[in-house]
Amino acid sequence: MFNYLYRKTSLLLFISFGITAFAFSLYYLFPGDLLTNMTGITNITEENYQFLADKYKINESIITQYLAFLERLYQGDWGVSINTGDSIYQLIFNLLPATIELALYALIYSFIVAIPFGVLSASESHPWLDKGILSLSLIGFSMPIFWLALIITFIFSISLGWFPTSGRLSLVYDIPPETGFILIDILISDVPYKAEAFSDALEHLAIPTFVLAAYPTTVLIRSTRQSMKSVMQKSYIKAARAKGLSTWQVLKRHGLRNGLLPVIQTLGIHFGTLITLAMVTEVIFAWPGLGALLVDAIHQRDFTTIQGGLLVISALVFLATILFDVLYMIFDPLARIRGHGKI
Amino acid sequence: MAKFKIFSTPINSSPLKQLWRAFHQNHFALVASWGLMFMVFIAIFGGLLAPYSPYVQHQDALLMPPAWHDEGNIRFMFGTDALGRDILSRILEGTGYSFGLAIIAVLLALSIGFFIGTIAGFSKGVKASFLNHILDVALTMPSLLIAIVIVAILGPGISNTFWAVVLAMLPQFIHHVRTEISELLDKEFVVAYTLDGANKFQTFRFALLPNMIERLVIFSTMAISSAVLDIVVLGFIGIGAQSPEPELGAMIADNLDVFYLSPWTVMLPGIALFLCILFTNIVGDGLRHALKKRRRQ
Amino acid sequence: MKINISEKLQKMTTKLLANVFATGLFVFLAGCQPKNETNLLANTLLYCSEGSPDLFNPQLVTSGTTIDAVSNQLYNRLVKINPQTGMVESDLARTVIISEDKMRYRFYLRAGVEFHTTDYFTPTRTLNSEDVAFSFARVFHSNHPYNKVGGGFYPFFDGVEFAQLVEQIIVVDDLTIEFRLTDPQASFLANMATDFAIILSAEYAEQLSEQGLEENIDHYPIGTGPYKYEHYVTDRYIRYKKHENYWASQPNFEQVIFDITPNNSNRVAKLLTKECDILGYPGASDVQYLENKNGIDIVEASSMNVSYWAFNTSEPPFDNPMVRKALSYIVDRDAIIDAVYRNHAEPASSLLPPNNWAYKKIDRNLDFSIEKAKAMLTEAGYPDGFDMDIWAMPVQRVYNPNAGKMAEILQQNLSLIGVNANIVTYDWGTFRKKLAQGEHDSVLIGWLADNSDPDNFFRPLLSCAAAFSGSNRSAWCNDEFDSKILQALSITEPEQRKAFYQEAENILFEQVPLVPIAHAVRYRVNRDNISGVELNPYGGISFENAKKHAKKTDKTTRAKEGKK
Repeated sequence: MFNYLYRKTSLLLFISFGITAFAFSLYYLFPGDLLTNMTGITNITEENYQFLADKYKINESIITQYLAFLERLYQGDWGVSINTGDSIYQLIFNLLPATIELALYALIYSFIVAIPFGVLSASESHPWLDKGILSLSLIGFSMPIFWLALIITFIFSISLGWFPTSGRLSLVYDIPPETGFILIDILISDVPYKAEAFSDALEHLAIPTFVLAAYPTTVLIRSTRQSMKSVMQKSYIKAARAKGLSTWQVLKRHGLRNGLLPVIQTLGIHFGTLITLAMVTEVIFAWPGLGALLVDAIHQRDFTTIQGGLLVISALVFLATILFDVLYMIFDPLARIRGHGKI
Repeated sequence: MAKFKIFSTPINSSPLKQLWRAFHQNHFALVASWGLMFMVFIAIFGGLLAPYSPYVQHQDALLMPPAWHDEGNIRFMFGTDALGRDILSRILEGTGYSFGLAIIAVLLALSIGFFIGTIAGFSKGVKASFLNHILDVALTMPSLLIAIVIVAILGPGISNTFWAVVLAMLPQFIHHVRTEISELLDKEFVVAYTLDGANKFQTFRFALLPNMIERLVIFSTMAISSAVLDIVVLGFIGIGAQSPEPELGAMIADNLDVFYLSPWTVMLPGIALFLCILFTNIVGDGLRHALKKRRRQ
Repeated sequence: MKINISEKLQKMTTKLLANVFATGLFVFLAGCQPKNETNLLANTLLYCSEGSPDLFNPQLVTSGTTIDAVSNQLYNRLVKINPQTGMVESDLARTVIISEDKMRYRFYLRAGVEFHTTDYFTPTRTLNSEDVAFSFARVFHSNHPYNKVGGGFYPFFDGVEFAQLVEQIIVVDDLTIEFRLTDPQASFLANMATDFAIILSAEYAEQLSEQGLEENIDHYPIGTGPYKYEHYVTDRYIRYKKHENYWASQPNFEQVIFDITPNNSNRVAKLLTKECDILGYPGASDVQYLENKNGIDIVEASSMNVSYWAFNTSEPPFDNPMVRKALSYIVDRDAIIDAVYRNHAEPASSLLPPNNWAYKKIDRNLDFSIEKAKAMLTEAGYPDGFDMDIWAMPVQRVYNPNAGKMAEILQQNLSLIGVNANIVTYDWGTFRKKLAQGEHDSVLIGWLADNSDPDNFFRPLLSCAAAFSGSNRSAWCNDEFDSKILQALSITEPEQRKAFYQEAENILFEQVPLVPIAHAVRYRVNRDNISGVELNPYGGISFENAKKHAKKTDKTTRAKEGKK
């Protein structure tokens, strides 16, 4: 156990160093003036230049610059956007909850859909069901996310008019942003149209969540199916069957827990992809999150915003991966002994 | 098609051939592999097959529906876009950009990854552990995110996209080759080979390589589908290929303006794209199954 | 047998797809009650706009996006132009008395006009002459404390040299103010009626000065208009609330929301799904598509505009008129009007649109000819062409529904004469900023008239003064041209003025600082339960008289009439 924690902490340290060093190196990798890349200020005057050069220590060694960079990161002084002049730190942390929200709901959705399907398709008694689910998941896996989004929007919002096409909440409702998570914000706000706003927010969530969930759902179906198949062949399951337990009882008592363990691991591996796809989804559905901000910034060569966005997104991906790894360890006693969780 | 086997003869053909034989039995995957071959053919020769240049604008035929439509014209099989460019020609050429480039990117990443991965697989100690850490970090980053990072640094454009995708896939290939090699090195038959006095190169050439190749083929096939996805997604969100380049993702984004008026301008490139990825995935899946089956024999 | 299986598979697939989706919906809709249309929705007007405003004061901009968002919603002018008749009529000024020599204009203000009360400002008095004097002094006097706030450039006023024209502003009494001119210029009153000449609150400015927050005057606006500022999130939305004490009439909506949706098809989608009541600047192909949809009104509105391709004449090779002339031959207007405007436009042979009184049809021989272009380029010393940038504005405007497409057409034709064009675009705000700094080679942009005076097409776009203040996208300064348009201003007799403008057009045709491309038809597109939206032919949209009906309006008014 101690060994495990030690490994994870050292990995965490290594990763933190890796990400920050990478983000720092972007200052030099991006074209353009170094000081502008650092501060986000485009027209630096003579007297200002000296002040900023001192503050950002650009005339000192790389190590000193890097340490100064870390200090600024810690203080929340992330510079300003080259294009709009807004504080990057505020910009990013205002938008981050929207991204997390989208990814989280898609994850929950895919869990709810994928696990029953995965378990069903693993059962030997319905081979046709297995084939159907597998083909479906193969199709889902092969659909470029933006194309799927277009088709779904075309059918369900344009033709049928069931759902709104973009955004998080109808602008009619004026909900003060407290936490940044729209559903929570609505619940804690004191507006007269709470119920209406809540259902409106759910309607806005429906299509983006479904589209984003397509990928994790297919991945989860496949991994659930595979691990359930191997678990159901284990001798303890045979023993349980022989005892006379019904299929459901076997599943509940022995199958699911063991079968779903590797699924957690799969989730951890694919969480990064999920976040990246969430960024694309944001662009398609005008979802005001970090991904949309980052893509916009790349379009406009707004280097300070790109740097901040990448820093936060990669940190998010790593944290989530480690979190899933820890979860896996908590649920799986064997992993604790092995202590070799892989990130 | 079961044959009578009077005598059981050991199969002595190469692993790849055996894999292919097992793959052959899966008709579904076989059909998909023909489809894949067709797509590869288009990716290579699409430009030559195209009836028009993908850039030429036919001012007399804007937003022409496909030929099977009532108002369609046989001149433009798949219709034209808002600038009068022939969609068929653009798809034929665009398959080369989206799918062809993805294959080249995978081949390139494979060769570089194979080289570095082999060296890494043989090395031990601090060097290996450091590389491990770096790889661990790089692997956690999804390839699309790495590609976005690289494009952010290099700037948009199809050539930058290509390099971004190559670089983004590289860690996966290195990792794959490296684990394969270090796993195989522990196998008894390899140890036996070394004990027989084979040097590193001979071990690699005669003991490791034949046993790695089929897995590598499968891995690369799956990598192609993700490379295609990366290229088109970058194109679609506007930071990859730039209009008027006929890259399928950028094409779809470009035609979004007229999506409601003439959906085929978006649907047809989308279908071409979907088929490329679907065939690749089915073939990759089929190969994997075939491998499993063969190993079980 | 095989067919059977695949059929079965197909059926199953569809069924499963339906199931997956249904499950998903169930999860998300579990907490939903059936939606009942409340007053909130009926009392809100949603306008899908194409871009973000730069700031909330039209004095400092020429961008139509900002004008649309700000001018008629937040502010009033002394006089305004009646959108139907095109005549100047009273707004904050009850009456205007003009002296015999046309050198003195005396404005009598309405009494009891209330300013906005917001959480950042509470007015203690109603509108008086001080406010008017402040609003214009800020623009005219370079030593005014507010002159330099926000950059000190007033592109529209600088372009028409308003500061030189107005000699003095005299506060006669509380509700009377007089403008003395240096010159009996014909376009003075028309310029006073533009969306730029708005009235700010002097009291608010004082308060801000005390707090040291002068910059806020352009970002947290206070005006007298029908709606007041509530909240703005950059690139996402603007929320205006009703101005309870509006002097003219009670505004019809509790709130007006500008939903900023730069993507064209997203905007159309929002109109279809009722997320928007009014669609700003439909793309040409969307008009065609929406015409067949139920519940949507499309009306053709008159508009004076021109889209053009401007060359940055301060940069080589565009400082050479011959190069510019050569490039003008590759503009295939018919193709552009077909593809980009879907025939909802006329080819432009001059800067002035045909519906302007000073327009004269002259066959200028603007044919599209690759050979001529090639020959002329060779003559100019570029037989092998060169590399250039075409900046394409990222948003739809009346005059150009899709600059990107237009740029692609030009790019294609340019490649035929060996010129390698690179299409550049940024988001609208950045685009305008960089454009004003002159970072472009050439740009596809356009102009929507602010008033009916032909001068509005010449001075703001091509005068030397405008080259300095930044609204002259060609950075072109030609003394002969300048003197022609100034001469045209100094006289009042229309036929004589017309002649001068024609001479100016001729210089334009020779020098080609810009290539006029098309005059577009403007459309108003909204859901059919909305009425009273005014599209001023000379500028911004106004929601002052807009209404939302619970029931749909009579189907007969469903506007096919606008269709030609």
